Amino acid sequence: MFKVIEPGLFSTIQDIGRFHYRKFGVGAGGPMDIFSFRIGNILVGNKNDESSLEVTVFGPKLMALEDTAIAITGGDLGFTINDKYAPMWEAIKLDKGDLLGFKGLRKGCRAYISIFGGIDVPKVMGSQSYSSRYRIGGIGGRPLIKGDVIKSRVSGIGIEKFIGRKISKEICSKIEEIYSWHEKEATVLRVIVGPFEDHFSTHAIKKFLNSEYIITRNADRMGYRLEGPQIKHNFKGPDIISIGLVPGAIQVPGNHKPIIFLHEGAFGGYPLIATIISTDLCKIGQLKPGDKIKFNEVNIRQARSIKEEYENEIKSFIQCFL
Amino acid sequence: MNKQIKYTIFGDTGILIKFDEKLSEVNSRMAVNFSQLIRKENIEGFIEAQVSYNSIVVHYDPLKIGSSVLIMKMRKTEAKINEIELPRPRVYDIPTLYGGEYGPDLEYVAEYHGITPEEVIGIHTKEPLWLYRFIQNIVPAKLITPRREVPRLKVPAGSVGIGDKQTGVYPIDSSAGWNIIGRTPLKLYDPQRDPPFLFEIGNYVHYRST
Repeated sequence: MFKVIEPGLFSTIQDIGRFHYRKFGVGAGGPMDIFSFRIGNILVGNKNDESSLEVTVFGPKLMALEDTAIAITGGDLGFTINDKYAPMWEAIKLDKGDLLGFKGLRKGCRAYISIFGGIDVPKVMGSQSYSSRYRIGGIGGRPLIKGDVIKSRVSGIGIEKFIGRKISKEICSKIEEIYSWHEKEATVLRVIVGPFEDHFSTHAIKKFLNSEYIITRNADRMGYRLEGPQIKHNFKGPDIISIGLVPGAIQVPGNHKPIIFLHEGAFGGYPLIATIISTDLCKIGQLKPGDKIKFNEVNIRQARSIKEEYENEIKSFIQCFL
Repeated sequence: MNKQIKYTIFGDTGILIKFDEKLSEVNSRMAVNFSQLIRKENIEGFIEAQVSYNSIVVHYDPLKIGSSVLIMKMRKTEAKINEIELPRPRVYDIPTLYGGEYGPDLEYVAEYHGITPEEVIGIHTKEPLWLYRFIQNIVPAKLITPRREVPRLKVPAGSVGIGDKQTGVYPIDSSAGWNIIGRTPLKLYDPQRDPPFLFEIGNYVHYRST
């Protein structure tokens, strides 16, 4: 159980997502960096679908109101305990009265605070995830504010079993592989071309796949707008009859600048030139305005093997503790 | 009547199913019926079907089913489109307060078409309109009005509007590019209610002036 001393820039409760309501326009939500989210839950012994706190750029300051275990995963926001830097990617014990904080962003963009037992907030339409558009989920349908009390679903009994859990060497290499923490290089996002590639010439698609884009300040859980080489439509033009969207779908509206559709929306009406593979969505969770990206084409078979490979790594990691 | 149904890969977790390019009630109905059929099949790995106008986006878990197997299973289901007994579409009334503070653009829409606001209301409420999406209909041709050049930053939930060929209701407070002609007191969306959304596509709505 925690008391929110400072809420941080944008801290929300996320579980794996709200499915079955996208047809009504409610985006699935869920973690922007699901890889880090899952590792966090494994470290504190939580089930895959327990909710965690997703914190953005400036993390919150929380006071532990009872003994508990937590793990911090994802980007490096400068995690501290009682104002001293503390390790990430590890299950750590907090004593009642300890202060969990963040001194400042060093790498990435978002981090996950996984709490032993998960977070106790009601499910709304099947999920605890906060939805910005519909203002549901989380604590009272909003991000954290000062004074909030974050309850976990179970008490601190049994935490000893998880204290000290660390990530394996294999997971460590996966982390290196997934996140390019180098500021100078562009992050590669793998895409499957389409489903509206027929709105673009082969030349335009080639241009898109060979260009570098920068994330603009208009970047949030709804979508990331990009700055870079314009992609012009062919005779079919910039409009389509609106369709349901998959997170990672890249729309090109009338101004010819691509927009990556993410987790908070559900429908879109601009031609989709390509779609980022689901396994690479977690990289976007760690990208922020000013970061550079590039797109590499893969096919569905390759996308599937990539996904299976990651899933096997995570499964093996879970096995370590059984 | 065997229309060609197209299946397209949509990233690695989606399949886009497209019916005829033409926007029509018939195509929309087919899409709704087909999505209900697919749901009933309980295919392992199927997560959700999102119908919009004449298309369906099927969301699936690629770790549980491959795209080609999923497409094959859905193709097999096509044969059932004519077999299955589906619930008849219902007509839902949407009581609407037109004009004044509830419909700041009603006069503009009337002017644009060279008719009176009463005539606009008359056309808008004349017949039940098919729900192509939640909550969107195709507006009668006489009321097709271009979207506002500058969208309003916020319109209240329940606002009824017209944007180009579409008309509909904003279920939540939203920024809006449509011309707002009225407001409904109906709570179309309530997260605490079961079901949270008052009605589903595959039905009609009938705007009624109150």
